[in-house]
Amino acid sequence: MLITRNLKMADVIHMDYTLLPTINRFGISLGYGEKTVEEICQKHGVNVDFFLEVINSFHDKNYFPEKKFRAFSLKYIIDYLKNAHKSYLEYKVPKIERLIDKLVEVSDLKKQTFLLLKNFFQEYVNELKIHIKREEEEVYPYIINLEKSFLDKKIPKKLQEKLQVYSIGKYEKEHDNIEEKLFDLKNILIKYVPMQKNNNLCNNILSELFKLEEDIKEHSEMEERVMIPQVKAMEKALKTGKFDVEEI
Amino acid sequence: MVILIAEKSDITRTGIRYILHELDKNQIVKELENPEKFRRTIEKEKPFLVFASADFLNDSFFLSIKNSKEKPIFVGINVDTIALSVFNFLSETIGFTSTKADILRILQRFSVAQTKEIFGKNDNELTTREIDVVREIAKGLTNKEIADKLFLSTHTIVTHRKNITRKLGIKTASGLTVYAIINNLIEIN
Repeated sequence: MLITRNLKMADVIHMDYTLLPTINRFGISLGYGEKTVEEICQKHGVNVDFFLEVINSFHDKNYFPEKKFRAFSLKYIIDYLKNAHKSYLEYKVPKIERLIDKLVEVSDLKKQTFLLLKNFFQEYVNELKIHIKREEEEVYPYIINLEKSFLDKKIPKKLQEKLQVYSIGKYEKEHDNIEEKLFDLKNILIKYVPMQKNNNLCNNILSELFKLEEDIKEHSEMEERVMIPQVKAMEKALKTGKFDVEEI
Repeated sequence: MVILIAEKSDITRTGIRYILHELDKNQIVKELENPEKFRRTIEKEKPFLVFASADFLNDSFFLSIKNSKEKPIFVGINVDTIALSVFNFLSETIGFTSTKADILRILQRFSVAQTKEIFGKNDNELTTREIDVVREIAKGLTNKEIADKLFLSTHTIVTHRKNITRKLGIKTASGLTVYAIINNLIEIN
């Protein structure tokens, strides 16, 4: 069932509580009272249409309205992506780190193995951090600039020079698959970690890994299916001077 | 293995995808709305099975892929009025009255053939040679270095690596290192 603006926010959570972290990313926290989705969004200064599309694409894995997303300003999308980064680095990743630390701590016989897992996850985290840093320091500012010029239909000289040497295509090519390590870690845990007594702990780690992976997948989809195509169209418009882009 | 749904109608596309997803959650399903991108998408995604409506299917398309090595299997969607020359390229057809069971039958008919072809024997354990390769990857050697050391071609090593990844579900070199240590293939110093 699609979530609509007239539903009560509280009912949305009853319907799908896994949406909570995503809702938090918009700066909206619990204590909704009887307010509808629309009212809550207005109260927090959130664009309700954008909110609904994001929430629905998390709620229904088959729902991903590229075209609708592309109608929103890239600013919304980038803000959202940044908030997602924040939740990975400040919440999701540390949570997994704590669980793995615990695993190392309580195991006596296989300590070596779990230390390996810990190092492996750390390698992944480092890759993730580099990836995020690059996006936030290079890619996103470039896009914000680009969108501004696109809307003003004026290209500052600086951007013009930049456009000659840089394009989003470059980033797209290097948008390497950072999920690979996550995928490996899951399989190592599921298939190859020797039997031991810490079932609950291992289960917790796995389920957190699955959640993180799903979330990051959604994140990459937003970048690859919405942000990058839109940026490409703007680059093209700015280069050719034809701004009447009807269908991006 | 990827399945592609090439269809202009959102409703039909979503419907087929929904059923495919219900039948096999792990199935990777790609969708395509624009007929102009049909050939390019097939080349890029390399699907083994393509559901396509009449908008996508014509003589010149089939002519253009005639000589490509890995041709997918084509299933027509609502192709009652299609030219016979095109119809002959289709292995199956479905329409609005098709049921979930019809699609299941198509999937079973073709995925089984596909599975056998790819997996050959039922071999999910690593071979001795593959274990040798894992050991060297774990030590941090490159494909070229491993090839030299084991007196094999780089191409062979690449094939071994593909098979190792398929069997173990581990893609990265550092993941394979963890695997190697856990299974005592190498020692940590």
